Amino acid sequence: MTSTRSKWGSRLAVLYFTLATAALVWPIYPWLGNRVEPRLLGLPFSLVWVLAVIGSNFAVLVVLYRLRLIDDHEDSPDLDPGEGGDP
Amino acid sequence: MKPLAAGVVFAYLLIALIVGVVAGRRGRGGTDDFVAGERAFGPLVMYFVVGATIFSAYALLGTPQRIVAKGSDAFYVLAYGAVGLVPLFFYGARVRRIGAREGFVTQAEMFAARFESPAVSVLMGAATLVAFVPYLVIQLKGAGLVMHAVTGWPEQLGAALVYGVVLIYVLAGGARGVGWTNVIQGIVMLAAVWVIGIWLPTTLYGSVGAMFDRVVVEHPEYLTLPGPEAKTPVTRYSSEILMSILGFAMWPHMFMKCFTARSARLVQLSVVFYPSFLFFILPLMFLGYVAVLSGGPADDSVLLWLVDLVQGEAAHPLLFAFVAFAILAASMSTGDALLHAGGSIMVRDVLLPLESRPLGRALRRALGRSQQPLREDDLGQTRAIRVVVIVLALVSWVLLGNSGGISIVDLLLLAYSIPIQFLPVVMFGLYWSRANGVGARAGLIAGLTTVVGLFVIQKTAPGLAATLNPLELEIGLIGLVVNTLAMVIFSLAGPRPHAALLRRFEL
Repeated sequence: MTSTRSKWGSRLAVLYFTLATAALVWPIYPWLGNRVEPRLLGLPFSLVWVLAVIGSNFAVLVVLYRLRLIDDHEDSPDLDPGEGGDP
Repeated sequence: MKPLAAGVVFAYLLIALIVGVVAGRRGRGGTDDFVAGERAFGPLVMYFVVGATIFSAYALLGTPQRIVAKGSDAFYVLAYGAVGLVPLFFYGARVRRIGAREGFVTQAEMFAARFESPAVSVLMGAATLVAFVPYLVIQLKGAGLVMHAVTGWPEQLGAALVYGVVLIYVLAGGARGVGWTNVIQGIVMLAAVWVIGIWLPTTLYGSVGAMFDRVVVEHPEYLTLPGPEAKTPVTRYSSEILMSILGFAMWPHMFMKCFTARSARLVQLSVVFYPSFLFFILPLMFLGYVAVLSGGPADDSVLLWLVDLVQGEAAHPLLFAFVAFAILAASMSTGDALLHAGGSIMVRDVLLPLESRPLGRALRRALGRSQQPLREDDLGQTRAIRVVVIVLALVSWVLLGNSGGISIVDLLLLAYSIPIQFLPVVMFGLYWSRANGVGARAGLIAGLTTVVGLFVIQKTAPGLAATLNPLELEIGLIGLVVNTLAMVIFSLAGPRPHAALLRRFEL
């Protein structure tokens, strides 16, 4: 059941989350995120940056979940065991 | 004794007790039910189980404390939380399916089957228990701290009372008891932390934004790295985040949550909604900055100290009760999950595989249980889990009192480097068809020996440790590298796993 669509979806997703992680650590975080200005709603930018990554990850996860891109098949309890093991 | 807070705290303990016990009565009994709640958690329970378990007393007390001590270094909790559970989104559904099909309820059980090696299970189980104890002690300490602030009792007495309640509902309710109490605990924590996190800065400075204006003027070094007195280099901060991300989803009690969900989709859904729990950390950061401005203490009493800033205001007793309640909920919701998982892991992952060994058989005869092995005795297993849960709680409680001997902070260092050693076994086990039992054993032994060895050297011969580890890399990371190399090399040297086995694991 591994369609091309979900294969590419998984790859893009892994790539996205790798980038999201990179944005939180050296060298990207000190380069772009680690500063006080500009402030948003009074919060320092260093904090806004981290919150923005969380928000963005949340949005991506919602999309992945809704589109059923990652590992979308479900075992029903009455299914023959071994049925789930598509190569 | 603070009457209102004491009333709230005791009422809460009573409710947690009743809900936990009643929820537990609704199941069929039996080990499978006790450990995995018949895999019947719906979305609501699942959401709070994941969230409440992760947000421990350590997060609640430690986050504002970290701001006071190290400034924006405390953001690392948000940073690793942003990605930490994401791996579960990719493999959680598959783990849930395989678990349901094969009847697995623990992480080690699953990988012992994948690698056809009971030794893998014993190694993982034993290492897990070592990691759990310090983590439990921290939770007990949180509970003791609150009870001391509320009633004036010594920490150990308060912790004993709270964990007495936890023990009762864990023992009576099993997974289901833990799940339902987590729902209450999660709601309380979310509400309490947001209320005080907004209310306190607003009362003292006018608004959260105005409070940050003051921080920018008076203590700007607390808002960016490397923080006050340049204590946190960005590289150190980054390596901590990466370590936490890699280890986060490997904690066995987290991994076990895959098995308790009602469906594979639900495992993914709980990952999707996990970031909403991170927004609950945010008000704790605000509170940390209030403490920075008002010169609060840089230890774990800072949260309760903050509440006392508004002593004399009419709302103070209510606020205090609310915060005490939240800390207690945080401590209990993590502590109960650790106790429950610890008991299940000790019995199913360590005792059962050892039982069939000659030594295990001899021991069983000595205990007068020669007729029926524990593996076939479902009630006996549940009973054994209960005994282990009690022992775990007792050991942690004793360690809480005996702070002279071993430092809890030191033990935590060891605790956090252990789950990350499961990463190669889990990842290669799920994604690399060539990985086999020889490799898994070699990797685990190499990784765990490295971690424990380096830890002991660090404590006994700091000079030697500095020569061995000149860059002061985290010991978990060094262990992980050794572990991965060993697993790859030995897997390639060992036999190829047969096709039927791989098919069971959807490889």
